[in-house]
Amino acid sequence: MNFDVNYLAVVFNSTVRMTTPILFVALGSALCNRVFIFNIGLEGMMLVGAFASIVANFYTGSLILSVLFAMLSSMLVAWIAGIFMVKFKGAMLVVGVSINVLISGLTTFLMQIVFGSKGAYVSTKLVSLTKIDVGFLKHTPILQTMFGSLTYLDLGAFLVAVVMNVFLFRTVTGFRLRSIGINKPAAESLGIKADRLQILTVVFSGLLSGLGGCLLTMGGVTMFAQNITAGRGFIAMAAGTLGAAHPLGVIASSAFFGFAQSMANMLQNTSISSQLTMALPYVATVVALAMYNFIQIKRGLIVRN
Amino acid sequence: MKSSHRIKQLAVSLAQPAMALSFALAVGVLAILVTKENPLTVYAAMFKGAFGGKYYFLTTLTRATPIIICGLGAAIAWSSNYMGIGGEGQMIVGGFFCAIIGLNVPGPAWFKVICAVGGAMVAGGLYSLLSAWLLDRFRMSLAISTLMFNYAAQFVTMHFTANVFQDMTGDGKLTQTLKLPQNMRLNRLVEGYSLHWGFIVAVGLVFLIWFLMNRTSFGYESRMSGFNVNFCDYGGISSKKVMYGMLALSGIICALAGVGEVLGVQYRYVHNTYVSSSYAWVGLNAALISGYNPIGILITSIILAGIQTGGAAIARSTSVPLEISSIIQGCITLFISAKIMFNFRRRRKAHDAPDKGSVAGSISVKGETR
Repeated sequence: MNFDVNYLAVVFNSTVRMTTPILFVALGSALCNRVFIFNIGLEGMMLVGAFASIVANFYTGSLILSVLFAMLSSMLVAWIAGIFMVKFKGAMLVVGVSINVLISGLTTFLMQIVFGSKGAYVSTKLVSLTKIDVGFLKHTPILQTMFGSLTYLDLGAFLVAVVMNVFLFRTVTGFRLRSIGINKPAAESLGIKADRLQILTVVFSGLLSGLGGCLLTMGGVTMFAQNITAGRGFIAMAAGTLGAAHPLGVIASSAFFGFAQSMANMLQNTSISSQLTMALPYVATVVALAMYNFIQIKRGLIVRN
Repeated sequence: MKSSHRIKQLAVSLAQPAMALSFALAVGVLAILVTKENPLTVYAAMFKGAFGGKYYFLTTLTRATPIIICGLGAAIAWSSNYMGIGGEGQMIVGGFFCAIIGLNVPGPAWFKVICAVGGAMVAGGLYSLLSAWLLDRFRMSLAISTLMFNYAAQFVTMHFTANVFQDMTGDGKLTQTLKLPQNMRLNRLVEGYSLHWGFIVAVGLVFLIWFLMNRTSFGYESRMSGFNVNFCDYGGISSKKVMYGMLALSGIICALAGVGEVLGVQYRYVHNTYVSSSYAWVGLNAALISGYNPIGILITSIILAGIQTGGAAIARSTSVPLEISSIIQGCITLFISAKIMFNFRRRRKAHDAPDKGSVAGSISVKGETR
């Protein structure tokens, strides 16, 4: 392993590719936090998006339809979750856990029916997301390595973050959303349809998770495996919290987890045990959250009793 | 409290799970129809594969054993309003330490068993206390920290199993430790069947926890904490003490689920078996469905284990994949969560609306406040 500039460029590139699926879901989680919804079902919503994109891909071979189907199916699951959380007053953790169990079972169930196998499904027939052409950077190979083999959806994740920032802090609807998170009864007393906005937020977080799942299965190697998300939805929730539920902060925290994940992959080729490096992103999540909260407590923003 | 009232209350509390079960089975019918099988025959085969005959029934009970124990562990933490999801990691830690201590401590068999079980309990408790400490010291969400630790525990124990304690005698395909000697293993309850003494221990734990929660001050304090943390501090109960105690106890119990698997079923620690069977999640579901009632957990766990073994049976005989059981199970808990809606309506007449939709508040306190 030699630490030259080229190697760092490769690390940067892999970090970006690891970051964006998490970023999508983390943005959804951040939005849910804003309306006082603890959405642990994002893991399942991401998984359903990942599965749906490959199924549509398998049957239609169309890129647009795959992405669309991923979005729609995740939105459907999110809508069910939202109805149970908000309308039926189900405990959010219980609804989320149920959604995750249900989706993990459902995707594996359908996988065996559609693809006839339980392990991983890979096929040359499947199309992958369109890569951004970086030919114009050919004079600087470093930049080409840094930004090579990224898809338009990767770019989209960052765009969504910026747009969401404007939406939350510069529009009336964004202001109303935030008011629900601060005090729901007070918001309702001002005539804001809090329940409806909360459900819509969950549905939108589903849409974003669907895109994240789609990016996971169609961004690099186009494939689906049983429970392919492997806790990324949970990590994204941590990223959403760590980013103080601010869209631009979420970019930074997601990049941190993306970096931890890409380091885990990179270190697999070294003498360090691959199992330990696999644990790295999860441990890093806990350490980062603890440090973040510690600073918040020191600054008096969180009260310890 | 009049007995007629009590019966009525029992009927009400059973009506909800029964309704949820029928909804879930209806969703299951849709899933089965996708596979072009006849739902009725599939369900009949599923029931037979779970409870029809001695072999199937005892297999279901074997499978229910870790589910019951994990359900108890989850119920203890959740009923005092500390909603950790770390059962899986705690079970892994328990099983792993039980196996490696049992294999490496010298001395007579009874001494080794005591060391292994004790060590596993200590490890599970300490592991769970780490999340408690993070919550106390850093206000870190228990749900997130326990979830992350589940993955960390899985990979770290995998590292040590693969690189230090790997069983080199076999073909080396599975990441697993050596087998424990014959004299350390739990006896079978019925000769020739998989059911072991761990099941009796699990049933014993059910009554122990029931006693602890309903007849001791520790249980009272935890219930009060589940009801309202501020009230609990106001009333002179240290909520911090309750938190550490409850989470440690929940970790210790979940670790025992791993111990049961090691001493009674596999006789070694095998990587990924607890995760792939999702015992801890099913246990949590059992706790949620039964509203943290230990006796309810016992019954629910056996039913859920039955759905799983039944699912495995139909996967062998029909083209329905065994994940049908996860689908049904996820639907049951999803519909159970809507229970709050009904409680909400009934309780509104008595008090004002409860402040938040937490299962803990609305169920565990129900009998006491009236």
